[in-house]
Amino acid sequence: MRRRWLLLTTDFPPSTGGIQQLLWKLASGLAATDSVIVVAPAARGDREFDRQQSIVTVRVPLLRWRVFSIAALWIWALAAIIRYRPTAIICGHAMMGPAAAVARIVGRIPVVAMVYGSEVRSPRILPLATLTMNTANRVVTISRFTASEIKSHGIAAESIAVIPPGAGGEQYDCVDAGSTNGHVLLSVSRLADRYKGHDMVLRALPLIRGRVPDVRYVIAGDGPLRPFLERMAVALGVADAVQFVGEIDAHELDAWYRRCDLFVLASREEASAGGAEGFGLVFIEAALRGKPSLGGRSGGIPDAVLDGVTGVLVDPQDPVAIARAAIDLLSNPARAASLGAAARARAENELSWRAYIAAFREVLDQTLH
Amino acid sequence: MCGIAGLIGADTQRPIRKMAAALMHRGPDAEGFVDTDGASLAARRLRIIDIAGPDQPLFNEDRSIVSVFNGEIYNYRELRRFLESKGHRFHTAGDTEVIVHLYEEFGDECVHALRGMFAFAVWDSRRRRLLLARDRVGIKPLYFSDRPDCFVFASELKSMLASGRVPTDIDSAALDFYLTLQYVPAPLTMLQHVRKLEPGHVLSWQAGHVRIRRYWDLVLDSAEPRKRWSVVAEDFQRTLAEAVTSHQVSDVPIGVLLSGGIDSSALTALASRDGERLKTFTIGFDQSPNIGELAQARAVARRIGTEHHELNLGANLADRLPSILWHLDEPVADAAAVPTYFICEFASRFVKVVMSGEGGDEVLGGYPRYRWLALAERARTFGLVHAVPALWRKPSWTAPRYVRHVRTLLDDQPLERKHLEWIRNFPDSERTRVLAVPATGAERVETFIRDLIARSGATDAASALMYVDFKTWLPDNVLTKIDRMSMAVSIEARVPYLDHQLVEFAAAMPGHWKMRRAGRKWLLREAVQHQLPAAMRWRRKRAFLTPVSSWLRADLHDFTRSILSGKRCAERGLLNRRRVGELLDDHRSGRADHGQALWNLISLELWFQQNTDAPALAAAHD
Repeated sequence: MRRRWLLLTTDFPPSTGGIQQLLWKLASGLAATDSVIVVAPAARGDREFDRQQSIVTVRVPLLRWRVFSIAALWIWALAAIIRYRPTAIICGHAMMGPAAAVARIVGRIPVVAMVYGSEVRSPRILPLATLTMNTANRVVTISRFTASEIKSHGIAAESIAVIPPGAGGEQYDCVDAGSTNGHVLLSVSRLADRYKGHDMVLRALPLIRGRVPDVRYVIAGDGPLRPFLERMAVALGVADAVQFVGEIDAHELDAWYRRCDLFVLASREEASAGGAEGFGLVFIEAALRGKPSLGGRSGGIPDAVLDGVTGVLVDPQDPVAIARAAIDLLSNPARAASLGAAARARAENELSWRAYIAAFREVLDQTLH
Repeated sequence: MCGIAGLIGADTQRPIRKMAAALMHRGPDAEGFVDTDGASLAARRLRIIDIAGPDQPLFNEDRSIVSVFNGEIYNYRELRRFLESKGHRFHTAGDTEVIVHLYEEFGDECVHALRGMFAFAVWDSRRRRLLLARDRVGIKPLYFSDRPDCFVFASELKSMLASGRVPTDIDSAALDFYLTLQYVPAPLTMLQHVRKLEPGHVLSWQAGHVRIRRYWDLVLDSAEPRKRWSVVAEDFQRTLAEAVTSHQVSDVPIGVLLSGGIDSSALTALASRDGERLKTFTIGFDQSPNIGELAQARAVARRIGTEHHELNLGANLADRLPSILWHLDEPVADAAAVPTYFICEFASRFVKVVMSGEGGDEVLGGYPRYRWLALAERARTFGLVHAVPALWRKPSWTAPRYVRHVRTLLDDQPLERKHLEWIRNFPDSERTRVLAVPATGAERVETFIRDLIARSGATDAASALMYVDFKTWLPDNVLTKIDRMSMAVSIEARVPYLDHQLVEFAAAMPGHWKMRRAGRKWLLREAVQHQLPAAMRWRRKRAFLTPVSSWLRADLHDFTRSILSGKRCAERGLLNRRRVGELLDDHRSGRADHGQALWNLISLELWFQQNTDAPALAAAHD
């Protein structure tokens, strides 16, 4: 019998974001052999998007208040469970936990819950996340770091599966090291959270410039933190070496990934309920273009960047350490190239979407037996 | 901790030794000189780290680069490991040598690698180039004078004067600032030809050309981070504890100056380690026991389990005052210098290094002025107060402080004027009366403060004022006081609240976050909740008030009168003697409280007598 998976989520394309992308790849991948039904909120352009997919998407109308929208999602989810009788439910977001829990307890339908990290660190969503994880048969998460956070909430280690997210999908040409016109450091992230560590890279920049005078730091992304970072660059006397390119489209972003010599994101871990990097997909994006990474040794980054193999990890609170690592890599192109090549090989082989879907399928199989 | 000096020009060898001699108290343990062709550097050293190691100046491997250094680098061990991995060879175990090699590695940008308090000079003999740098906050002092025939720098003004190369012309703008603010903000000094290197700046000298560049500034952020209070408090606690730990790097024992207020109490709590008993020191006043904080400090000390020492400051100040003010080096009319001097002298019998709570109020928003003026700004936005100035005339400057403050709050004035109304020693009208010379532009001070407010980029009044204080009051009054008073008795004072990482953490928080819980530094009180009970943490703040008014009515009255109506003061012709006499009379009789105004004038006159009058100069040059 053809197996039928029901994916419940609050985030799904055409709206943009890492979780949206991941769930879409997962649903499409599983749909190659099985049937997949998705319950997701409506979004601008969803009809057009859904028409092109090989999956059935049930769109739930958005209501004026978020709380009603969530309730509507639960009701639609329960209706879908009754109507489609899925083989198992994939709970794509902790917010959908209650519907999955009902299906598991009342309908005895197996549930696989997906956890990305932030929901177990945020006290507001934590109760829902705990409910979801406790009722699910398996919990799938993205890094050893998020796995240990989940364990700290009393979830048994054997029910947790770590599957690092896949990346890419398109074929990237092997890229020339772009140092035709000065050395470029690149960060990519929304400028909303301090823990991403742009401030520490800025603090390291004068030192880097002391050794690599033509260095430029390109910050892609936008958000409320941007004015602060801009003023900081001025205060540190490096404004002329920092370029804020704002939020840019995929094409331009790709160009920057290719252009840079070193990808850097010195994310740190905030206090227990604060921000941290769950995995750091952007490192893999850089790896796919053959670029080495400089990452903060925090959160899930050690799973995304293998220290000394695909890049370098440093104490994200220490600008001198950041500067030192950046100088080493910028002034040693051969080493940077070999780290970049290793990063690319790993991203293409171990971190492909194919590998992700295969691993996920295995978890689903285990859940059914 | 040390004193440094340098001179570029002809015949530098004799004057540099006089400059070093004037800094004796800053470093009684050793002195060192380097004389190269056309440049001399000097350092006096107080041994804190690497006690047995060689003294300054310190050179690089081929002796082409030499440095003199004053301060402490708290991350010197990490930097040293890094530099060694780059192939630099070290001859000492201390922090000074790190500067030389960092300069080789990064050039002028080397300042960005340093965590700590510092003022240093690097002479690059191959390029015949001098680099001067001062720490981000201005904890350590550095003066310079760029003359046609020479360039002079030193840790203190008196060392500058001892060089014999610096004219003693008075800067009239500085006098304006002094009479209003009670100190002279950088880059000015009371001397027209001497400048302070501003905090967070580097200066380079090469072939007679001076270039000054800012390398750090306080960057405020008003964006609301998506965070919870508990997360902020936990992160702050972590940052603060780390700052305190980093400030405990030392090869000699460290004590804490404990006043009983939350800043020093928290510091004591966080600095206390299992296995070793921290020494704490507190001062009280005999004359007015109610404003001493002896009991509170004692309770905190008992709770933390420190080895606590108390000093009761008696009378007999007149004998010591000239010496204390001489050590203060710049005219700073902050009477708290007196107890600071005595507590440092007392502590110096037990330890060579103390930690002190300076900066807590400026960084975390502890002064009541912030929250009151922020409130007044809000009321002004809503147009609540337009009617008041018409109904209530401005009270005289001698009216009780709280009456003046309430009137200031209700006034429809821009923020800089309110700030000045609140803090000024003399209003404009009185300044013209007390001076015998025409007072220069009153707008100068106001413009200066207004520019700072604009530069702060703050979106709320509290943050703007904290920025202003951070750039003026903190380095030029508070830190000048603690540096000179501790150095006067040859001990080192460390100020963990001004660790730049902690400062940056606090600056990145919106103003109203800091002002939460009635602006009582809730973050700090939360940070030590496991060490101190709530009663000790949430005790009402009492400013560390020095009984200056009663001193000037009793012990110090005769002394003050003799100085201010003396012959030398008259000859200087700066003050209106009749008006000064009235102020003295009114104050003594209790008709008015001119304590702060008189302290301002006596500090100024004594400074002139000790620094710029002929006998003082002759003594310095002998």
